[in-house]
Amino acid sequence: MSVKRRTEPVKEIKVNGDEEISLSVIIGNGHIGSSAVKFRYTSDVLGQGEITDLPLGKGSAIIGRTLRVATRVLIASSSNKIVITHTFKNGDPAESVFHDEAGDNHDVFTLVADYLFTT
Amino acid sequence: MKKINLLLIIVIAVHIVHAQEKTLNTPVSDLYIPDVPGFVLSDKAPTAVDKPSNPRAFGVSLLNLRNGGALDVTPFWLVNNPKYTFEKWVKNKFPLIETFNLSAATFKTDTSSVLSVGFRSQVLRIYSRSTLTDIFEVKKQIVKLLTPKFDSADNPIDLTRADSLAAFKKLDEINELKKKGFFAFELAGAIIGSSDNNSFKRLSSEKSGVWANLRWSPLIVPLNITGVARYSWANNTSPKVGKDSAFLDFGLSLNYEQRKLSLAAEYVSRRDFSIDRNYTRFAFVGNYALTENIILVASVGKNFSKVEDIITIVGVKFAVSRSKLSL
Repeated sequence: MSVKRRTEPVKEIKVNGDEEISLSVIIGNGHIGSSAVKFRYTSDVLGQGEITDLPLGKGSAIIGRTLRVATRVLIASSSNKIVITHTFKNGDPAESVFHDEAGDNHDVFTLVADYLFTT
Repeated sequence: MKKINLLLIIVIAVHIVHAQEKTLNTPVSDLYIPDVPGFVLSDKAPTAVDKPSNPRAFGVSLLNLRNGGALDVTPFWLVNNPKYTFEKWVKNKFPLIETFNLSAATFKTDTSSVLSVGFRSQVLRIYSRSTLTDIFEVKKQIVKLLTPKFDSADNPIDLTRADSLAAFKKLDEINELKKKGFFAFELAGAIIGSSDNNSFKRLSSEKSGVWANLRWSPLIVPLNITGVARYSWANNTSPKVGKDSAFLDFGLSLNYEQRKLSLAAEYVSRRDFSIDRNYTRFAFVGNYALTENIILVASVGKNFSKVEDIITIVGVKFAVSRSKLSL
């Protein structure tokens, strides 16, 4: 059993103050995964489990804040390759795709990604 | 010589087992490396009625050290598919591309070296509603176990060993569920060429074949019922009586599976059109998983030919770890 963790540098996401922003997390390559999402330095977890169109709030409300997305993947298919896609509706860039590779079957991979919302 | 080879295989296998010191988490049927079409067509495979199986991204089969081996690859799983989720994979009723597997096999006969290439792909795979419900229920439990929790510095806390083991156990449950309550239809084909002096220049096509495999796995009992219909023909041979050699096989196999062991009994009826005669093959086949990547295989019975028709194959199959392959 091996556990791998990867932490990404903060990435800026441009948003429009009038638009609602939401997040989806897609685990590719037929694997199983789960995520937890929160704004940094707050105690509230916005969403956990499988994340689909999770409302983050209006652009004006989240500009200047940093969102932390932790995604954990269990290798479950014939591939040892891992691909995780974070999609921000009404965000630019809309998609962030992360590629990695696990050692063998039954491995667990954790990705930590931070997003700073800007205008 | 054969005894020395067999002894060598066992020594290597036991060495690897001890070196890995790894418990077997995956049942033998998941580890089952499908006999590559080239072996099946040449009647060199331990089984003549092969069942549709989920292919590995990359595999190597070695029947025994003297007779050669095979290499197979499933291209779909070698590249990233960002939008291909677990749900899409399990619910996909037509996994033609996802299971398209290419293989090459080589072995020696008393007089020549033989090289074959083949393909196989599942055209249809349907899980019962009950099986799908069960799979997604267990998946939900895995998702719950995997969900990261944050510490006071907003960093995800590592999975506890207990949660990791529980998640792996649930994954094993899914793998078990995937083998029950489903029907699959697979197409395969191969072409065999031989060379009498081990030279590619002298390599010539010898035999070709296409076939279809059916597999039905009932929901309750750990049995697989597998059928095959195969048409094969000889290439570059002189016509015998009326036409070139051409065979039509119909076979049936009953397969019992446990975690480390699978046992099968199979019967194949062959019609030889060139001499207007029928043959039969009857065999018992056993697979025993030593580790997740090493499987002992044995096959005994009666083969098609009228002479030297006793089947005695004892060998070992290896699967190369997926992690070794990065393209």
